[in-house]
Amino acid sequence: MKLSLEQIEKLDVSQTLDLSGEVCPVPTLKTKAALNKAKEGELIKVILTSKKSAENIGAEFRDKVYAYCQHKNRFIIILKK
Amino acid sequence: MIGIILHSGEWDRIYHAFSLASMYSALETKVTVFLTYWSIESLANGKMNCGDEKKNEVFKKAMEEGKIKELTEIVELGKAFGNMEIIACSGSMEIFRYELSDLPEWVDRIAGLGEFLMNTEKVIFI
Repeated sequence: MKLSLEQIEKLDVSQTLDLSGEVCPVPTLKTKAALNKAKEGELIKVILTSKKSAENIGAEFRDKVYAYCQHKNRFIIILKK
Repeated sequence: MIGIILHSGEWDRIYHAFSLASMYSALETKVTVFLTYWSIESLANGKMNCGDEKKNEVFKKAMEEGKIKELTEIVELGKAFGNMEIIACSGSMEIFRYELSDLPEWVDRIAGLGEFLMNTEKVIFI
């Protein structure tokens, strides 16, 4: 679901991945590694500055997307293990 | 198992082959990169050449912008998932007179084409 930046910042996340400036394949590789490390139910915050990368992550981890928001050129996606 | 035969010594193709292999590994698919001929020579001397000046400029600019990484980073990201092996073709190693120690340390071992193909259902040639 789409949340506001404030709501997203309140979420209790176990990992934060700052992937600003990263382009495929790096975001997918690093996000998958973080998911493998996370325990069941944990939230991971993924920060991206490329719309295409955000769309990729949104599609590739569709079943794990818990929340997302866009703030200027920052795309934040919260994934749930 | 997916096999990627990396024949080309051109750096854009080498980078592409390992991006592909790392992604397969991340997606839990066993993958082996089989280095042959010119890829071995490029990796041994570490010279990054895409084969023509225009490509080299595009590649260099993308690296400066952080959009293309050092090859080692992509390889290590992929290997961390545990589904990726990198083998140097024994025939090519003899033709070019290289030893395993001449190649990056992430090259796992030297083996023959037969053993590589025996374990592989699908082969991608780059």
